[in-house]
Amino acid sequence: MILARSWNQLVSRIRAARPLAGLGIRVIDSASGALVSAEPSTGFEHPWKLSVRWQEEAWRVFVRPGFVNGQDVTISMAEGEVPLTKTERPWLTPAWRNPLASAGMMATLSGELVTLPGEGYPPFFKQLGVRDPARDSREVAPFDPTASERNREIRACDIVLVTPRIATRTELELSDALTAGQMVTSLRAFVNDYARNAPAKYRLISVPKWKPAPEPTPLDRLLGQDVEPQTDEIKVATLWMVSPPQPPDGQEAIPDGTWVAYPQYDVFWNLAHAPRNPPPANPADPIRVNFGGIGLGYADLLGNAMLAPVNDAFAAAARFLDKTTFKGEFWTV
Amino acid sequence: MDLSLFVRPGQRITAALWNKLVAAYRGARILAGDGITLRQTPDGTLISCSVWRPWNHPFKVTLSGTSATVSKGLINGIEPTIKDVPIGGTEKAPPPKLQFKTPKLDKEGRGWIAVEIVCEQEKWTIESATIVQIDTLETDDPASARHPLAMIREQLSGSLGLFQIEYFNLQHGASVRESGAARHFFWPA
Repeated sequence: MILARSWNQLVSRIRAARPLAGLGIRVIDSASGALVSAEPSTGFEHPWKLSVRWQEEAWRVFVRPGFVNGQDVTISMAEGEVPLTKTERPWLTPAWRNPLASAGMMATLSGELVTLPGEGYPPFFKQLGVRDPARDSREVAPFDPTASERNREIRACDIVLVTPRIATRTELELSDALTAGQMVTSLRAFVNDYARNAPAKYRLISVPKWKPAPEPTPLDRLLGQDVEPQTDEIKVATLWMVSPPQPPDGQEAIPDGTWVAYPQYDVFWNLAHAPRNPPPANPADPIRVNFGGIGLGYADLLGNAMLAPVNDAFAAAARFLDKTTFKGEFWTV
Repeated sequence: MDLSLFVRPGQRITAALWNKLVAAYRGARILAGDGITLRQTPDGTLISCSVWRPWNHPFKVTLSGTSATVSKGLINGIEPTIKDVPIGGTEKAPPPKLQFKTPKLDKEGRGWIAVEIVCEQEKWTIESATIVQIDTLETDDPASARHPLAMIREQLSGSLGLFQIEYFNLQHGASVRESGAARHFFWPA
């Protein structure tokens, strides 16, 4: 005969013997046992891994060496550009943005002033107790019983890899109306000011918020107003900083040694980079007429003036179709 | 866990209930997964976690003094060689070592362990792939190209530091111009 109490004690013992997942541990329950594994991410030393330290009253971001085309990447320090592979590691000093703050104000056509919503953050940080970002003032906030309990602040910055490139822009040449019939010639100009003066070929920088530099649109090319950026850039990581509950400075708080860093990576592996590098396109010559000096050359002038609209349209089409660009691409190796 | 295993006084211990208990006991056993070692003792099971685990990926470079070994990796399915022996070794020969008495370093103290390929110039397929220690990744011959596997850099102490660059098997393709110049591209396979 088994006493219910003894049986239940046995069940409780078995229950208490079950392994539960702690920090860095994963447990998969199965019929034949509980598989305990170390989290794969634990200790994974990939290129570009950030190490964030509070040193000398400031946050410093150290980066595990990553490579582009097998070359060193540098960080600007007081002594110049320092490679990530150097024994004395360089560091980035982050400049923070506040993802909770409103993006600003906007006036509607009806004259109403609207507060724009904040950038926000990944849902993971809500679980940590970070307060909600600013909402669009026209929105009604949904009921959230946890909102009043969440009072941590969050700040962020982006770590970006920058490499110079040759840019192109359109230059228009307008010939004299009296002598050449006001013909338009479209020329492709190559700009390498930054490529010549860049402090290093591959650099890491820290910016509060990174946005890809806008490339010229087809309309810009059509109008001859295209100006390309002189750098190729890729975001390596976003560094999120979470405050302790109820930081003393509230919404104005700046990350100090009591905050906790959470890197979010966009790139895990070393990179290759190559510009498209097409051959420079020769400008198309405008269509001209040559009547061999008939009418003291006035026939040529008249003919060229009549052809001017055709040449204008031809030049615009050539600008539109001419995809000459040195824009580069990054890929992992 | 199934809470119906708990019983009230007077409840019968049926075969079904007994089997449930056996299943619960079996399910509570601890099995060692990745990075975990278990040691059974009379007082319980000691669970240890090995945080750092070596990852034996393709083209992993190991430096030992002035020689290097490269674990097996493939480019377009071809295994590179050191002194005509495939880097992974053969049945008769162990994995070869790349010997360099004095490492070739550039003026900044950097060098590379790289794979150097030579292509035939009709279909631009790889003719040969060898592991080299070099101080530049550039080549003069358009039919050949070097892809870095690891960087070696002179440290303040005078020793050589190793930085792994490549972690995967590779694909190669060449973009050839009319002039005969070629751009060589490598990407993970």
